[in-house]
Amino acid sequence: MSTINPLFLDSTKPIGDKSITNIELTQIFLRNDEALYLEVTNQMDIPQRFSMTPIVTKKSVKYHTTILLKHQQQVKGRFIIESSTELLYVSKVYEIFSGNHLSEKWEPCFVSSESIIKGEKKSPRKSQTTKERKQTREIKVNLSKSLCEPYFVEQIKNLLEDL
Amino acid sequence: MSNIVSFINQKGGVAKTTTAINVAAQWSQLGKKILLIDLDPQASATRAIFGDNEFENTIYDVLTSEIEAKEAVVHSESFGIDVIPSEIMLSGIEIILSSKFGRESILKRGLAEVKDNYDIVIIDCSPSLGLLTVNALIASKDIVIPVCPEYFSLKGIELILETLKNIHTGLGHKINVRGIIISKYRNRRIVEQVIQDLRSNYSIPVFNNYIPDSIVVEEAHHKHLPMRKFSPKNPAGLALANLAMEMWA
Ligand SMILES: Nc1ncnc2c1ncn2[C@@H]1O[C@H](COP(=O)(O)OP(=O)(O)OP(=O)(O)O)[C@@H](O)[C@H]1O
Ligand SMILES: [Mg+2]
Repeated sequence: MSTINPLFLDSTKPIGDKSITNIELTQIFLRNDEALYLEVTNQMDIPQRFSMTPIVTKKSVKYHTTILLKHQQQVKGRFIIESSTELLYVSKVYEIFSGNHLSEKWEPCFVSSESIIKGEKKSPRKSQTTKERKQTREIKVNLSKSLCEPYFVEQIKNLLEDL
Repeated sequence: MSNIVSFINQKGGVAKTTTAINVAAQWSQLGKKILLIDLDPQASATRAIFGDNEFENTIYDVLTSEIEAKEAVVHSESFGIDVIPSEIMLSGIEIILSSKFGRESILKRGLAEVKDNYDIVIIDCSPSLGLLTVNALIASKDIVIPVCPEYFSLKGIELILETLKNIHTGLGHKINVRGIIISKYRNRRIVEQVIQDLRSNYSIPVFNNYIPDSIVVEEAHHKHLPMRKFSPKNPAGLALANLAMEMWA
């Protein structure tokens, strides 16, 4: 049986009918109890989650995952941060194209009320004045309205269904 | 000689680095603009040229896309060449690169802009045939293979040619073997034997200027000087100068 050394496989060519698609998130710092996922929704609106793993380079930490998409397939994806017990943050929704490389800076657009408090209490990353903090919170709330409404509604629907 | 050439042999200690840095210094004296890329995590070329200096920006940062290649370029006065240095962090990079779309051509893309500023770009490869070396090969049109006749084996050459064939069929890139460099030789009779073995098995050219083993080469290494400055009249120094001329032709 002949074995093919993966070293010599063209990573830009489809594997079967699928292409490697890299998704990378930068400028994000997770706490020990937090996990980051990419949630991808295909045309049939079926969400699928991919765990994002840290890649520590000399100059930065990036979170990375690889998904396989069919040739010219396009899906929607967003980043989610969860603690062991709850959803903490979600990002806006991005278009992901097959065989491409998506690299985005972390920017939350929906924050659960608890995690805002948690973030402010614990976060030593940026020292903000009270005024700045208020502004940030307002921006976050606004963003959550403008960008995440469909997901927000969806989530509430899902929650009600679960009940 | 085309724009990018790799010095390659998965066998360690066959004078890849020594030949690469000395040929580079020699070409620079001929008025050529040279960029040398140290693609070995051991950073032997970087240390041979700059001693124990550490660099903020290295080829590692270029390959992880943190910076552009031109930001990592440092000039060496004594060798008269530009260098993109290496560092030990490079030893962990294959894991980072392995799942990337286009992982085999990251170096090629990284060098695309900077290479046009030079007459020639030289890549000093590590003694392995992993993803880093595949990146060097995909970036190069030509390779040269330094060999040490005292420890020569046809199996080693076979493995390199097999790799080139796999790269051609799997990745669609054809690489030209410019020639084999006989280095660090002690016994002329062994050199003749090796050349005969090569001729009867392959059609790869062997450069006519063989580099003899000489303690002076090691001394130049430790003084961070090219042979053309440290001891140009030494037989190894002369051979390196002639080899550089022969390679350029
Ligand atoms: N002509 C020579 N005469 C004597 N010593 C030499 C000669 N050429 C190289 N050397 C010495 O041999 C050793 C190995 O050489 P070099 O580092 O150039 O090999 P290499 O193939 O690059 O090794 P590696 O596979 O580890 O990268 C070094 O110590 C170098 O100084
Ligand atoms: Mg070396």
